[in-house]
Amino acid sequence: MDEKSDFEPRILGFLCNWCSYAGADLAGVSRFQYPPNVRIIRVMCSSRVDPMYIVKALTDGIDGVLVAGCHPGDCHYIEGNYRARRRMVALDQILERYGLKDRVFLEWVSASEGKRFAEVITHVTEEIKKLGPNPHKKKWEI
Amino acid sequence: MATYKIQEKELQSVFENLLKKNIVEGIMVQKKGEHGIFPVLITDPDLLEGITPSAPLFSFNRAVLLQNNGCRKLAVVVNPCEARAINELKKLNQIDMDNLIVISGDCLGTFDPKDVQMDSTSPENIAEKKSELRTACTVCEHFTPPEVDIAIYGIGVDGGLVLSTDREELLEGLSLTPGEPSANRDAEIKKILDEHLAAKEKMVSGISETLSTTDGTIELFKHCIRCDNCRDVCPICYCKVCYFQTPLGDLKTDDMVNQASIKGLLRIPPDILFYHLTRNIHVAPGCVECGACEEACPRDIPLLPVWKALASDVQSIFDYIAGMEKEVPLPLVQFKEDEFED
Ligand code: SF4
Ligand code: SF4
Ligand code: SF4
Repeated sequence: MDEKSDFEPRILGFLCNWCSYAGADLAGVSRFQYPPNVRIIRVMCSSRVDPMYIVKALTDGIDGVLVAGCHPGDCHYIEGNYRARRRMVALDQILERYGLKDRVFLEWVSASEGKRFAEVITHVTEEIKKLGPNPHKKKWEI
Repeated sequence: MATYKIQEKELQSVFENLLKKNIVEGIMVQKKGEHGIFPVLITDPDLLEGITPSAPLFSFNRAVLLQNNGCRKLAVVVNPCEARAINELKKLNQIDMDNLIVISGDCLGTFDPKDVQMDSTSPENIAEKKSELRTACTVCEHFTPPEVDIAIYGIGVDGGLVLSTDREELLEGLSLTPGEPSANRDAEIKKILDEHLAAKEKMVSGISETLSTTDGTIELFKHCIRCDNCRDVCPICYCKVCYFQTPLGDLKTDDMVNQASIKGLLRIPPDILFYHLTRNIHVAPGCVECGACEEACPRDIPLLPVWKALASDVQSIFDYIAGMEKEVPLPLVQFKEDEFED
């Protein structure tokens, strides 16, 4: 088997407390199947994620990062996810130059979308599998 | 907007007026001494003699000294990139503009005083040294003043300078002759800009190639010693306590042992790429591309090309140019509901 098909990515998921984490919970109690590759960190809002957390994870060698929050218009704090979206757009611009952009995902998952949560995780895991391991995992020089 | 024709020598009377009328307590400007030309802060109008307000020198971005300015009123005579940093800091709530009068003029590029001995600021003397210009200036896109209290135009002005302000109270008591730049000012600006844009494009395509591979990125930053100078001289990196000064970001020996034992090995100093990417994401929306970071780097890391690429990538996607206007809000504190939807 080649390295890629063997490869089980490690993915970090920042889920907002009010929507996406509840969506994950629903996926769990509904027993929807999804890949076990995502380690979840619960945050109060998608806008709580300073892009530097993502950068830290990537430079430490994580294979992918998912940020998930309430759908636009549904943020518990009214506008947090709109702010998160702009920050992620800015981060994308930077990571694109460093060839890391495709490893970062922003998705909207509501508390009632257990099925969608499972689909998002499946999709993200598949995409990262296609990319292969984060090259920074093996490189220790910077 | 009032505009006046003025000679370089007369600028001194403008500053003298500000001091004598107690509009400001001090003026930040440059002055020639026995050992060269230096940035100074002058409070005594008698010591204005010998100032060289348009000497094309840049040793650091002076906006960094104005962060958290207090209640003492100052006028500062700065380059456009410094004026933009001041405007940006105003929007970041790090400068109280009520206590600051910003004066900035057209800039045909500056020299690092450590590379060039500036004996005279005559145009001939400057033209002679042109090949020594700071790299940032050869790729500068905003070399005319942004929104400031008093702008000074030299490009496309026949004989002397044009002073432009909408705060006429600052000039009260002076008898200035109205005047305007000539009609070909815009064409002359465009000519310089085109040259700089071509140079920038070359710079950005070079760095894009380097950054596009992991090995290229490593090569670029590998000699960094995490002295943090590039952060400290950057006017836009303003946090009072940086993450890299906190226990999590400033690892002591024992922390390093802990970190090392995760993978069995830790590169020291740690977190070089993490540090640079963090500065990239925090500063790119407001970077004024002044080049101060690169010049402060003791390890000659080519930071400017990275910023030229990232600042335009990030600012252009939000249709923003750092520090050009005082009131246009920062891109990351506003949003539209129907944007970036895919
Ligand atoms: S970067 Fe631009 S504004 Fe700043 S000193 Fe150079 S030419 Fe002048
Ligand atoms: S990052 Fe460098 S070029 Fe950009 S504002 Fe800071 S010091 Fe100037
Ligand atoms: S100034 Fe140079 S050596 Fe110091 S932290 Fe910045 S890039 Fe590294």
